[in-house]
Amino acid sequence: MELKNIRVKVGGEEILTGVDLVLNPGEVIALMGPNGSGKSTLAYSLAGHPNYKASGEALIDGEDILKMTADQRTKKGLMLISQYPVEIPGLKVRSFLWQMYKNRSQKLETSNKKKKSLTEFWLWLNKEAEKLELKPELLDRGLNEGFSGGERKKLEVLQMIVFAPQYLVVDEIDSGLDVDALRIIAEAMVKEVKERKMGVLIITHYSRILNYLKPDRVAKFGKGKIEKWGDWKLVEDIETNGY
Amino acid sequence: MDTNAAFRTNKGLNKEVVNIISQRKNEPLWMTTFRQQAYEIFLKKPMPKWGPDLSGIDFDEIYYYVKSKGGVENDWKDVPKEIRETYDELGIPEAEKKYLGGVKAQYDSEIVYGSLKQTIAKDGVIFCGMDEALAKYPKLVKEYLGKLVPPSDNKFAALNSAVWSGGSFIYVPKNVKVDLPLQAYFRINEANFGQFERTLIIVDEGAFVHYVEGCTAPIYSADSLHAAVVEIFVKKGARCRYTTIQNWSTNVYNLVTKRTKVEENGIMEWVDGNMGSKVTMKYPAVILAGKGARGEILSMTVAGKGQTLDAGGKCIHLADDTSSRIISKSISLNGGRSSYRGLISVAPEAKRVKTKTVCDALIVDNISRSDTYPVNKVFNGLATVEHEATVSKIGEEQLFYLQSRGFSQDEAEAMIVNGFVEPIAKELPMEYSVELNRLINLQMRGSGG
Amino acid sequence: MIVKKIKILKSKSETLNDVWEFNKSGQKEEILIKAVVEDGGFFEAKGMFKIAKGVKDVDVFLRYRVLLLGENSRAVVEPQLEIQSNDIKAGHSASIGRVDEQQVFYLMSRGLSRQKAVELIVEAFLK
Repeated sequence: MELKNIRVKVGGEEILTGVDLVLNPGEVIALMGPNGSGKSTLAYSLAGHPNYKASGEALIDGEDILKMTADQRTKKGLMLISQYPVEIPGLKVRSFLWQMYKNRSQKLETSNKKKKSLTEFWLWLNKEAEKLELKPELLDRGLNEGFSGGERKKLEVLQMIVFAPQYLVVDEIDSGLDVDALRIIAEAMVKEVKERKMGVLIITHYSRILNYLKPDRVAKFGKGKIEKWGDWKLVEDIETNGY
Repeated sequence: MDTNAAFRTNKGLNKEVVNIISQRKNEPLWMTTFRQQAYEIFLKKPMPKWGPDLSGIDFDEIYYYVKSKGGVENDWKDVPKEIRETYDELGIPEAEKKYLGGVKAQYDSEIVYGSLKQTIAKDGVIFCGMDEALAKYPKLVKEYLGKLVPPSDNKFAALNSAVWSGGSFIYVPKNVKVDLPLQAYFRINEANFGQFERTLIIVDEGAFVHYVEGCTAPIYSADSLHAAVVEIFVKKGARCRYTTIQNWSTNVYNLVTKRTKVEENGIMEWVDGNMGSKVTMKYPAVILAGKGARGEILSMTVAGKGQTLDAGGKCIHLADDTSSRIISKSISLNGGRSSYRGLISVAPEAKRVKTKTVCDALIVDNISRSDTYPVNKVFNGLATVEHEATVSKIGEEQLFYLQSRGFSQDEAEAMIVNGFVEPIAKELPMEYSVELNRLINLQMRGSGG
Repeated sequence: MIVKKIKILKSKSETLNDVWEFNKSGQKEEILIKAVVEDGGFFEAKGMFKIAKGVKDVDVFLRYRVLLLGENSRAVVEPQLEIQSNDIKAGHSASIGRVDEQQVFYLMSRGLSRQKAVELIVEAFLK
């Protein structure tokens, strides 16, 4: 995924002032920066949120996704994990995940296997939910209906497992998660990175999750663009000295 | 008189038509008199001064009694194209399509019906058409008919009382619980989906029954006026659930008076789904007459192009410690108009009443309309009365979220709308709720974004 | 936010009949009407929100809260909505009931007489 000179204006003010980055398959990039620097704006504009119109280019396999609607971008392989996933009452989680599964790219199935049948999917889903320590009864509720913050985040991760995107953009997943939940979620992401070469752009304040999901490169974000590139040492520097 | 031959009264309504109907059915004198008196009341009663525009009803153009061999028969090519297309979309089998389109008279459900009939007959449950009930159980019918909805109640109750034909009669003896829902479908040898159906249900002490009428697939009716009356008596400790899914073709004026009287510790549940018709006026009512009685009304309306669906519920608390709950979900799209009209009434002698009403409305586009007209009359100070209503459009954040999960805007809208009605859909028998989802998807697709 | 507070005395009555029309885009309003009805009093309120066709970004809510102090207190509350635009958030609520017994008990357990407890609760309600 290639971002070239991404600029975003919100209400007349330029929030993103020219973001460039290249995310390769199987690579993890950590984006760290102070509140208000535009990190979430980057996440939402890439995902195609109607309130954020981005200029520049965002190429996935050579195609510019900025010209596409949100669902087209997801089908192209980009998935956003939201910081505050919304509730959609009455929309049952199980059937929602099944619909998502049916939408995912056929090339994800190994060459001999077709996509799972409904029963196979059901059983597989139960196992994956168990691994995430997500209570099974939540799968029978409406989407995020009455879910705690941590449960919502786990459901986002379950969606990642079901849909298997090529590139994952994670917007501040660590807030509101206890140590165990954080580890479980990170491990699930690491598995996708290792097994499927999923690329991850993880936006975060804290280094905690990065202990499990080790970044290949670290970008320090400030004033609407990437100010500095580094590696783990940059994370330590930020932890010690702030932004 | 060969009652199986096709027959139809002349257009329009007058004393003679009323008499002919009664004669052809070989009714006892008291019923003939009941009809005649109701007709006089109908003439005197004014049209309602509130609610949707009913000026399109031309009383002189209607045939008030039509009987073909076994039932109504239309020509398949008269069934509107959209309805035939919907049947295809829903994958409805050929034979059933013809039945719903009013082309074939009877749906052959004898196999299912036969064994059910045997089982319930053993327990003394009576389930038959209203015409048959009048002939076989006249004392029972006379005791209850018109006691909850007298002809003087409103103009359309008077009309129904004068020209009624068809409808269901159910009597459940003490402590008998009928496990399987009784469906209008099972009444063969009757013209189903009649214009002026009269239904009477009596659930004796401690008993239970669930009755289901209508169906989600659109029903084509050449008749433009449907005025039905439903009266239900729930005795001490008994429970009754009445589920209606109405999807009349959009030429129909659907004006229904439905009322229950619930005695001590009895429970009444109305599940009322409205999707079709040009105009619907329907306010299922529960009269909580005995101590501890409980009423629940789940109402859903989906008003599309050219439709005005005016629905809701009424709970009248006359006794101590009674409770009620109304949940209304309404959707307006493509220029349709959905209105909620409700009444919560607490009589001065009814102590410690608890009642809650929640009305949610979804206006899908900016050419549609939603109204809410609740009335809360509290005449006893020990009551707790809660009412909440919200109106909104499909949430942008919810839309974006679903799109970010790979669903197109149309798919996302349909998912949100189906989620919106889910609390009511889940109360429907399974096959209905599945069809309901597909019907809503179809309506949404037609909304052109 | 518009707040109206009313206390209705025994054998007195109060009638409100309001219509609020929202014809301009961007209007936001929250209206709260509180009434306390003594034993034998009568409160009647009708409140209509009309939102016109074509308006955008309107967010309005109407709330009635009615406290009934005695078995012979009576209230008729009719909030109404007529909405012809969909770029809106609108709602209403009517909450009619007695004084919370938990609150009364709490104050009495702090030494107040029942009468005094109810007085304080009503005072706080009308603030």
